[in-house]
Amino acid sequence: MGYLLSTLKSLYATLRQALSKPTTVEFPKVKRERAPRIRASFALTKDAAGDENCIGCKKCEKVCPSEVITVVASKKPSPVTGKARGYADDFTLNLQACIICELCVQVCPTDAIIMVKEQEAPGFSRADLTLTMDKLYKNAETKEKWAWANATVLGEHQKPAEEKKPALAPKPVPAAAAPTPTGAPATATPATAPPATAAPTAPATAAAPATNAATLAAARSPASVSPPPADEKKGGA
Amino acid sequence: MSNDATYDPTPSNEELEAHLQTRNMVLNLGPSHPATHGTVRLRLELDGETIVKMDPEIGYLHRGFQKSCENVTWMQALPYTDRLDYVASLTNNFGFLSAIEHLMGVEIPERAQYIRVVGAELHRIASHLTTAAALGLELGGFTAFLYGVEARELIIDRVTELTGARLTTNFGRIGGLNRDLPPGWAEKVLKSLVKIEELTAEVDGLLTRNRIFTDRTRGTGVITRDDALDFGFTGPCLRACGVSYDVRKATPYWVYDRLDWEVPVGMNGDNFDRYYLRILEIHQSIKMIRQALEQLPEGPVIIDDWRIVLPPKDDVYGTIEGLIAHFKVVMEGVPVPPGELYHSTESANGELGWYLRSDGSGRPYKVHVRAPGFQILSGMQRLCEGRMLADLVPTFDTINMIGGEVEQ
Repeated sequence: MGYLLSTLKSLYATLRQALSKPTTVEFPKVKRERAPRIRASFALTKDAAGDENCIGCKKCEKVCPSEVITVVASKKPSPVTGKARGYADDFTLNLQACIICELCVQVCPTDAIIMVKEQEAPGFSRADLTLTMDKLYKNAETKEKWAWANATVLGEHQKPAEEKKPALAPKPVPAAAAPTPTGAPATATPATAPPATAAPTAPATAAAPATNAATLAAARSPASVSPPPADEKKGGA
Repeated sequence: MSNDATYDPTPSNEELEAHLQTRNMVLNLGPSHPATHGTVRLRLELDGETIVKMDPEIGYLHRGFQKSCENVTWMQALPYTDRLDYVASLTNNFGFLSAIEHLMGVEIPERAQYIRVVGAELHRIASHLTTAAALGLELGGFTAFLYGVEARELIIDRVTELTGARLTTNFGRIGGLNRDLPPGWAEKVLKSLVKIEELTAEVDGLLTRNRIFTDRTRGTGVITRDDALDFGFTGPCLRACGVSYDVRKATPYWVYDRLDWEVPVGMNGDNFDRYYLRILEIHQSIKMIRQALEQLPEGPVIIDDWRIVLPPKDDVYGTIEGLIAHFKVVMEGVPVPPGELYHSTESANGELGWYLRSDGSGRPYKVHVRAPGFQILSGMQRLCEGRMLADLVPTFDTINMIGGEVEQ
């Protein structure tokens, strides 16, 4: 009797489901809308004047956990402003091994590499999955409407709600201004210049690893921090 | 012909009852078997349909996780943790980050703690739903599985909106989170939870009181409380034996001590208890998420310390300190002070422990992960030996071995 009851119950559930609206969609005909923040593919951007944003600092190459980014950097005069600055001569991102962790986008100091969400082009050869520099710049033109993240926007996502700006704000720094604080690609600068200029901060970080958050916070230059460290936020709720 | 008088055509009793000289059959289940969750090979020695000996053989999914961590910075090791228990990757992400933060002595903002609870519980529901509903699939009840997957898809959609990826989330950063909640996300989660509750009730209704299901699950895959403790079982597999041990209650981390919830405990340690315990835990997790979203405070989601987190973009462009801090965090990694610690959090399958050792450079000196699945898989012979082959597959489902976390 128990068997019969259970079977009837299952059949009833099946019947009810058969008559209701399906929860799945037929993929090639109907495409489900992707989440606004989905991580899918990449693009390299140019600024308003048409100059490449990438300064060849190789931070993305360094931070990539699966080591799929290769950057060949050099210093040459900008075709737009004429000033010498760092450029990526070659930039390759191998999507076959990419784990799409968004770290490269997050660390980019000039918002050059961005995340685009649509990736509806499975390749027919291995070469199709290697994003060369040309493909990356082309992605920025053809897939711009799908771009949702660059380093600045990802930083905005971290901020508390009241300070948040609308998504993907226009790039705040024109190409001419980017090199001025450093004067050279970011890789070269801190190695030589900072120990003299930022003596109170940099040696403290390098020499003695502090043991807790309070000393970590104290070791930093207080002028550069706007809100106080997290310890004060404990009282809420 | 002299023998004719003594010839007796009927065989003697000894002959009839003599043991038939057979050998045990060796059967390989896996490595690529649809019933093995992850790539694992089970070498079975069968006497008829009874399992005489079971020998799980791992190594087919070995990716050298622990060794790989030594070659990258702490932050770069985070995406690797997605691939441990890929059904519930947020619990791995947050557990790893929590261990690093303990080693550094950093306390994360309250809002981040609440969001971590929400994320971890969401993925715990996803994992439990997969396990509980797939048990129906293993026993021939496909309908329940589809309800489970539908509910899991809802969770994965919410996780995608939050993190940007379906399974490999890489969410959270040392000192907090890399992202605040998207606008309107909390309401969507609450709406989804209602639907998930309905679908869980469907799974529950289809399986729990189903005669065929209970006949197949009650009394199979039994392990005693003492054996489970000896083997180092944790999580639902241990609690099904009657031990009320949950890391979230035993040593509360984040804000678990501020939420009102209970630890469900089983009695018999069989497949049915392990299944039903998961259903009960789904309800507890739903309860927790509702409370956490209700109590969610305003504020930052990440600490403001440039030695640990990336500085805001304005400071990277505008100040030399910001530029240096950015460079140091990216190139050298977060400086974790020298020392070692063991820290554990409750993942979907049990106690996920991290033994970390740092030598003060930006890279881990050693990362050891105590994945709950390993101990459970090693104790699985005790659940299967002397029992029927047909019960192996459901047992293998309820212990929920995930190949990714067993092999590090």
